[in-house]
Amino acid sequence: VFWSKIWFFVVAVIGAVAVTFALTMPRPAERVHSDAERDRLAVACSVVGVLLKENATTRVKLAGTFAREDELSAKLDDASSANEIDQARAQKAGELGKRLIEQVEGQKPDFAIMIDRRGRVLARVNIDGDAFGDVVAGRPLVDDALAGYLRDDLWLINERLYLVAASPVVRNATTYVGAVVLGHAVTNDLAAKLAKGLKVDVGFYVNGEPIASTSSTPLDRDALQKSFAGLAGEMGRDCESNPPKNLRAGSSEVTALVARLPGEAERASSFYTIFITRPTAIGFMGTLQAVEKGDISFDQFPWILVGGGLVIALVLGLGLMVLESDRPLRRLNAEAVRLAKGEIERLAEDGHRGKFGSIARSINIHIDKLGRDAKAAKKDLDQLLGPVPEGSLGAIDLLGTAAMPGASRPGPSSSGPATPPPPSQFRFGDSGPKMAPPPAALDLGPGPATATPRPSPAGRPPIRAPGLPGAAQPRAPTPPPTPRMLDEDILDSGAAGTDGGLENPYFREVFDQFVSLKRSCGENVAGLTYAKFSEKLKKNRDELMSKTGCREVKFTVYVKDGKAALKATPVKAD
Amino acid sequence: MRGIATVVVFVALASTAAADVTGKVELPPGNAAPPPLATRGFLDRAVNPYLLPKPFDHMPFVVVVVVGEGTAAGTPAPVGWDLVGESFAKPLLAVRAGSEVTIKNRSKRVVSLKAAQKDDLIRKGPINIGGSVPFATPAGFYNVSDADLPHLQGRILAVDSPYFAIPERDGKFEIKDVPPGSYTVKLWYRDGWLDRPDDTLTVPSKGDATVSPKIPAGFKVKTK
Repeated sequence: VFWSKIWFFVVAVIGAVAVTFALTMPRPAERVHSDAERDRLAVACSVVGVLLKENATTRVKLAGTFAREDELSAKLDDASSANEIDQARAQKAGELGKRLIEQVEGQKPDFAIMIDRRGRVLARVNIDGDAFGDVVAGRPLVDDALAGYLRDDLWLINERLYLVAASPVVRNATTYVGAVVLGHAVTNDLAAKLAKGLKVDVGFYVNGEPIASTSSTPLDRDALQKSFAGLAGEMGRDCESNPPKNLRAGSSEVTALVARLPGEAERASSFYTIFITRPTAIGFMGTLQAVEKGDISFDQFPWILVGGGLVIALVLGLGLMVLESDRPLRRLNAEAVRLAKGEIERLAEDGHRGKFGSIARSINIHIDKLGRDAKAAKKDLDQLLGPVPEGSLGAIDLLGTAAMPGASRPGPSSSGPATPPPPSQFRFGDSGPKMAPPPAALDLGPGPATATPRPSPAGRPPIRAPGLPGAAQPRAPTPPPTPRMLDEDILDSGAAGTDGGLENPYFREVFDQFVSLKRSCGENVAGLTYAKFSEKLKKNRDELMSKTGCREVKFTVYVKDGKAALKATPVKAD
Repeated sequence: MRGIATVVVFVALASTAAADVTGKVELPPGNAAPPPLATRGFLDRAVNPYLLPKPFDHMPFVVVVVVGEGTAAGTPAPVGWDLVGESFAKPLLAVRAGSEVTIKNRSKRVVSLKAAQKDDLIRKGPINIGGSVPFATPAGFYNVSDADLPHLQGRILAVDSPYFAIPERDGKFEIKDVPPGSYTVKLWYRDGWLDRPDDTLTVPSKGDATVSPKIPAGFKVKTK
């Protein structure tokens, strides 16, 4: 399974790389997205700057339109020649100013100030309680307008920020007679107009305090002031020259760009800010959720490549499994079945590679061990019972088990009783009667199976020990019976064949069968008395019981090498 | 005895003899430059297409100072400086060092003025509408402003010499009662002495002296 392991390792590595890739990829994407948002913010900031310039152009043109009103120039010319601005002049000029404001289409100014050539206010409309007579010369916008220049500025009046524009007023195309100043308040509506289509928020601040904004949530004041203080470079290029800052707006995280406002308002730390909600790290799951149907279409996603890779991986993996695992296992299994059937005695170790060869070797080692154990058991039995002498009554083979149905069921056929195969010839997979463990596997040389079985005399039923259950019934495995052999000396001893002084009917029956079988085999039975026979049986039974701890001993008469033989079988209690 | 008295009177008259110094500050040729840009809006200021702009009047920012040997006698006279609306009546106030200047607030708002070069020059605190604040002016130059009104800018030049003048719009000036002697004529413009060779002036015992200092091109002032 070497290559299978390698393949699994490769697949695992590929999987780990894929997972790492999947978890890591959102981050660069988020970074790119964040950079794109920052770029968008800078662009939006510049666009707002351009829009404010356009707005200033419109307002300056409007001031010029005001200034070209003959009635206005006449009133300013008249006021300029007066020592003081009186109420009547101011009122009439104010009414004119209101009328002119009403005539404006579109962006109407919030206030108007009419100034004579001496810098005095002839009239105010909608601002400062319509006060008049004071000198406003000195303000750069007013001075420039009185000098003949059109321009714009930003004024802070009563804590409100105004976009102001001024134009000189000319009388008869020959003389400057004053100036007119128009003001437009910086409001939330203006911020909304500037932000329209840009998908950003716009806010105007003076000294860190919000003046107007598209968002109802104020930005972090200290952070804003810090950003403002950090502005460097040429004013008007703040959007391009200064990086966006991350700020908080209430509970939200925003990215903001700050740009200074020009004019008088600049000295009051006025600025506008463009901000967007900071892109959050959506991670792997967020990325998955953001996937759209089109993203996984055949046009966008290399399904063929992925599918092909999957198929190749599967085929390679399965192929390696078949080659390195399935086929060798089937081969080993088939050989094991053959072993069980007795078609082979050992597994072909060299025919199996790797672990399968190890399994085969382990099995073979165990088979060898069983053989050695069987030989050792035979040797022990010989030591216990001694060798069978020539011309004896016959060997009493004590091997066998009570659980062997064949042993207790003497067959009527010429093949003799259906005895189990000798342990040495046991084969895995035998479907015959259950064999007792290890002792059944002992190879003791020629045994009942190899002996020429003879029919039991008179077809008598099998001899059973008293109290034995039916031999045909399966029994629990019995402990290893200690093999025993009865020699002729034992059988020839002249002990009384009694059991406790009484004739044992079982021993009598065994005796009768034994004598009958000896006769049928043409053996001499002279000198074979029941007393001796039963005494030996009893002695042997007791000895076997004490050795094996069995409850009973069954004796079976059979033919061995043409002679009658007797086999003693210990019977374990259920 | 009568002869002695006549001599004393003559000497006294001779010692108090003084002349007026007159002249005209000459602007550099081709001076059609627009007025300095104090602030800038979103747009550059544009020239009125219907009438040429007025030439900028530099003279309110020019001071002609005649500097002689020795120290001037007498106590400087107090000087008033009106704040009108959004500006001072005179954008640059020239006084003799040690003069008491009184700023009178004739505008329609309360102001709080401060001299950038000398924090305690002007008493701290608001100056109400119609109110005034006097203060002494040591020799030096001071920018006076209101933190809440960045456009409100005034300048005070306090010189040791009592002989100085701010020219008229046409550049003409007159400094009265200058004792005879040799003098140097210096020009101050806005925030510093103009970087130019000083003119020399000799005031005769009889008649007036005339000098026409020239402003160099670019109105460059000395850094120190």
